[in-house]
Amino acid sequence: MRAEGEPGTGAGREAARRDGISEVVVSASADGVVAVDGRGVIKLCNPAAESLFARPAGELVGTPFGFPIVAGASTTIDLVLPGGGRRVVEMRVSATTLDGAPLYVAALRDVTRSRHAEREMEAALERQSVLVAMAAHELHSPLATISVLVGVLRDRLTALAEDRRAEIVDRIADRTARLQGLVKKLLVASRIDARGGASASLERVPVLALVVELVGEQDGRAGDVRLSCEPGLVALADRQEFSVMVGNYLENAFAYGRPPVEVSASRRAGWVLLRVRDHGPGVPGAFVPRLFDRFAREPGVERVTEGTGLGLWIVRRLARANGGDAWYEARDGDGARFHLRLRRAPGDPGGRGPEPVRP
Amino acid sequence: MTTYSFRLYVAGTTERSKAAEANLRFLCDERLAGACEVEVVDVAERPDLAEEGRVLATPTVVRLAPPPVLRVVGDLSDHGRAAAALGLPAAPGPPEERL
Repeated sequence: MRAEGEPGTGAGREAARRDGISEVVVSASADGVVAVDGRGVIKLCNPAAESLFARPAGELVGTPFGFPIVAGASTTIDLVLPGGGRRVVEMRVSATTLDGAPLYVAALRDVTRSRHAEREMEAALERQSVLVAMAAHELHSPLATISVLVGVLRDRLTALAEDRRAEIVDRIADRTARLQGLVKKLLVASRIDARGGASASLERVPVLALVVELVGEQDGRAGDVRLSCEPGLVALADRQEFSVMVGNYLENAFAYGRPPVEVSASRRAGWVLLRVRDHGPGVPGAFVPRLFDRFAREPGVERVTEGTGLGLWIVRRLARANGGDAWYEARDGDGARFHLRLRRAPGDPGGRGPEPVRP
Repeated sequence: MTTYSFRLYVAGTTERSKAAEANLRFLCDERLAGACEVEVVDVAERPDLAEEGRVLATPTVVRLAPPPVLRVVGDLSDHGRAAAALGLPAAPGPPEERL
């Protein structure tokens, strides 16, 4: 709080004492506060008011603000900023006395900012609740299956033939893996929501090594992947997020396309371009515009995977957070082609032509 | 009869601006029987006048005459308090009492 009066003098001590009072008046308030006398002249103001008015306390104190009148709880006014700008604030007024004289305390809240924050909060809550509802829905079915299968194993442990038991265990393992994949996606999605659009921590990631690692994780399907990568290609990206992006593309290709799946990585001016192509029917034209939307699922597609409609959304959001992009290239009857563009690491040598590589 | 003179500072033609002007004119009619002058200054069009008048917020109404100069911030929708702050005469009683 700033007030009239010089320090060290009688007036200064008086000002200090008033500071004490006013601290109570504005206790822990993030609002801009101006206290005016009965004529509407500013006697005190806090730092938040200085920034709301874009004027220093020295300029505000002693200036006529006007006698503040509020009908009801609050009223909206425009602050006139130096240089002609304006700021919409909500004003609340309470009356008190200072040294026996009336003092009117106007609390000013930046409405523009608080409305924006409110909308952000509402949107975040909306996303969270959709995510939670979807998680509950998607987790329910595989968990129910696992529960039934475990029940079968427990009840008929002795009666079941060895191969039948092994089959049930395999099915449980399969469902568990799907659940793990789903939970991983939900976690990534909630992390993306939590951090907003902030960029990831970028590092040099050799593209071929990363892709080979991911193909290696495809269990029995690695043989269905054909790789090609320009030698020495290094991307500038968050390693873990790069891995999630390519992993989701591969998973998508196996879930909705048909093998073989071709993964090719090449150099473009300043960029690493990665393409994942399958030999399935491709994406129906009508669905393409919504392909990367959150929770987008092609109608009529059989739910052979956990199919959350989060995978491609995650790829695009992560790609953009890494300074790149992700998109689909529509070509009739030629399988689905998904592209991923990431920044190329500085110092990455210029390349020759693409070289086929066996995983 | 004393003629009152007011200057109303508003920012653009928002609902707030219109409400403030309507309320001020209502008070003029009700309390001063119309014996008042109202000048409306749009600070968006005349930032120089806003600066000259040291206007920190809108709507602000300044009573220029008679002295003393009085200044009120808000849309004046609380007529009773606005009139008191602007030093206007008391409101006439309800119509039936005036008969």
